[in-house]
Amino acid sequence: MKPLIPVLALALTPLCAQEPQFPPALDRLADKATEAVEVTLDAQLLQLAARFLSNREPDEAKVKQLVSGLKGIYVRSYKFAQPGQYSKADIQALRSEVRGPGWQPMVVVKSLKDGENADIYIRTENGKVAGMMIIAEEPKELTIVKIAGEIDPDQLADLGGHFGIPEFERRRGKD
Amino acid sequence: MSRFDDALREAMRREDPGEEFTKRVLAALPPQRETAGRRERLAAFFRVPSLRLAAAMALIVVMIAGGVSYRNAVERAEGERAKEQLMLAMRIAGTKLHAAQVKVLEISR
Repeated sequence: MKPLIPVLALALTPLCAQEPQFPPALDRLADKATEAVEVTLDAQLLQLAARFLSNREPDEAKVKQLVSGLKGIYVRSYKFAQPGQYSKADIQALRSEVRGPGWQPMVVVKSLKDGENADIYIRTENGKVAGMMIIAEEPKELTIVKIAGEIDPDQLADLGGHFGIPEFERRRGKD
Repeated sequence: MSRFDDALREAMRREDPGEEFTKRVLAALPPQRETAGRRERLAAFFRVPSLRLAAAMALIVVMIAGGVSYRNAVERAEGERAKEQLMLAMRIAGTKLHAAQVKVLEISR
């Protein structure tokens, strides 16, 4: 029985260990930032949060439905007092990740005028969206959102006009 | 100083009440026999096996109810916190998606 214990421990390690979602370089940015938002919600916490979302409230019900297929939501958002507090190297590891297999760019916006870049990548598995990454760079702000699991960007856009999310253009056309 | 002041000071002077005073105070206290009697009655109550069992059961029920209530309160607090974090993440993701859409529309117009 004894030799089985290390084998079992090894087999269970990937389940217990939390996979790092962001490169260590990002954690160091928090020290320089004037405002830092870090959200780490794994599947277990998402399930717990979903239990506290009401089915009777239409807005909360939408979020509950959106969250039902997710395995994790991870956000790192840093605001700085001055431009130039973060470098391209800080997010290089994330860019390498989205260049990997399964990932494809959905929107890539580069603005030389105001230095605001927004990249949205989606990861597909068997023809279904299985993940999403948003990298939003501004001179004094850097935001990265990683969503793991089945996500429909349209469902996220449906939340526009609620919870402090601006209304999306197509919604205005609909209403 | 007037004679009135002297008389007042003399009247207000601190005086030892004497041993008799202490005895009178102790005599005025309720007899300890009564307290001992109450304790005895309580002990007799718990000597009855069925009552002892009932008291133990009641204590266990109260402890379990307390534990469950505490666990629920902790879970509720964690759930509310997770919900707040989720809503914050949704707000940030939605805002950034919207910003990207605005940029795309600006370019396409």
